Amino acid sequence: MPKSREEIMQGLYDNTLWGKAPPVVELTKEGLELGLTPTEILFQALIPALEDVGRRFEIGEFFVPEMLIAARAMQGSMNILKPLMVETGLPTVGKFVMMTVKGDMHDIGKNLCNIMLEAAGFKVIDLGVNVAPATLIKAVQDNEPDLVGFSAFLTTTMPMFKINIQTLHDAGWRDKVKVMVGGAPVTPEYAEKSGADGYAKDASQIVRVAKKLIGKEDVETAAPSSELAAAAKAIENMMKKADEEH
Amino acid sequence: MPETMTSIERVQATLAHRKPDRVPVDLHNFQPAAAALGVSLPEIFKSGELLAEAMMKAWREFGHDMILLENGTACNAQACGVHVIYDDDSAPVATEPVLHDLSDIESLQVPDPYTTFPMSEIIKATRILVREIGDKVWINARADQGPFALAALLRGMSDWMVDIGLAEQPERLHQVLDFSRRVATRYAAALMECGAHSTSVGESVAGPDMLSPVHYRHYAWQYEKQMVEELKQKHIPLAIHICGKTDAILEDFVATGADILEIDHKTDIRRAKDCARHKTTLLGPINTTLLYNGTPAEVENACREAIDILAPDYGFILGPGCALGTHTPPENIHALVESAKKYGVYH
Repeated sequence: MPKSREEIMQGLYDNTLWGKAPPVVELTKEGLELGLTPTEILFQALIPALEDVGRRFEIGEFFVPEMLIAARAMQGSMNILKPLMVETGLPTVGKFVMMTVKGDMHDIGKNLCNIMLEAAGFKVIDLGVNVAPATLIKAVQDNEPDLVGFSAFLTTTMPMFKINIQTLHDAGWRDKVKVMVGGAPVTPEYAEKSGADGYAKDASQIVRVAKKLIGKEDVETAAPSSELAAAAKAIENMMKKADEEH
Repeated sequence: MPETMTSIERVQATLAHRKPDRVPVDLHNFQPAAAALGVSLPEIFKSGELLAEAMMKAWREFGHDMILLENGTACNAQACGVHVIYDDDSAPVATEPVLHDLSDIESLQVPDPYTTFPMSEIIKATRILVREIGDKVWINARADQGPFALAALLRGMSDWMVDIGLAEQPERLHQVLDFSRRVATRYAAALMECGAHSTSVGESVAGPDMLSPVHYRHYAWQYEKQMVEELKQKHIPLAIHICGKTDAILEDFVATGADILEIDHKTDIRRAKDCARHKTTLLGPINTTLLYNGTPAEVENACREAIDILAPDYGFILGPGCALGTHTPPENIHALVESAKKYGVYH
């Protein structure tokens, strides 16, 4: 028997929450066939599920494995939705090259930032973890982004911000991109001292700061602001817990 | 009051839950010790001779009772083929895992610690420390990492956590954990063969900051327990380190039977003492951020409070809750060591 829209949305929610990737992909396809829009699926099923994950994380019911499989299940759906959101005229707000700095392998926060940016209409080019300055320069040359973001989780890897920014300068790119930095031990003062243009405390802030830096504060994204705020809150809670992991 | 025991007698008494003259004190200081030697960190962390020299220099400066010897938290992983980078300003970092698929475990061999880098260098450092100062200070040579922590590095942290979350191949997960247990146990035995007084493993990623208590019991505990039992047959004392908040697994943690449990300030130390009393020795729990940022007076206060709660009924070693940061001020390390003498005397 064909599923109703409600059943599909509930199925998307439940299977994202419990990290079951294959049904999330199947239900995404079924939902689209039934006429659900990508933004409905994203903001009325996937992100609320992620919010629930954040809440369960907060109260000690979920731990890192549960959080990661939920994010992974959501990613499967996002891979289908993203191109459609571009097709249906969701404007690309800007291009964002994202990475963790050399020596730093901690990427849970960076990945949450990517989810937020993509949901808000940014094209994210994720260079992954432990990225050397030379790799950054190549990616900037190849993609000509509006922004680059460096994440560091350790006090010992934070000095790479300054080195990366100097490398951008030496390669002649410093004036052409805005630089954002973040990560658990990073403070606004440290970001400024490093020569960054912007700082986001966690994934919940990144969209607002990024849009401001490139003068696109007024560009509406697909998400109604209230829903984006709820998602941001969920992610902020998740980040708080993620910050405590080792 | 004059001290009536040597450092070694003091630690021995503590591990046997007998009365020492005072609380012994340990330093988890491979990073500041290396930085103080005036040679680049990568050179020291790759050389048994330099590592031993750094640890001896620090011991001469601070006079702690127990040396924790290690070169970071990627030694066993590197010996098993994980790619590790040595940066100028940090501990070695594991980058490229070896298990691209869990079935790749079939092709891994337990490394020979005597001939496999960097285990062979830590073994060299152990021999030097034992020969030079092994009659004066307790040498805890770390067989890092423990079964669960090593498995996570062999597979890559995120993939390993996803594997556990999905639980699609439980037999494979246990196969990786059992392999990791054998690696750590073999290395631990080798360090003891070279004269170390005790050995230890780090298992922080198995704690409740990452893993549910159910998953801890299912995937980490039984391998830790098995390792403890195998070493006990050879009369080898083992410490297990889980920093972060361990409250939810304290009973299980104690039930591994490990001789020493290393905990930090995030754990409820009163409850930890209740669980551990007469069963296992607790080591810690001074906050490494306080040791890095705080004043000597603040460090002294934290030590005094920890001693008040953890020293009664013996079975307590004062120390930092985790590895000291590279630039921890020496005056704070002195304050930690001296607090054991000032507040930790048993009358």
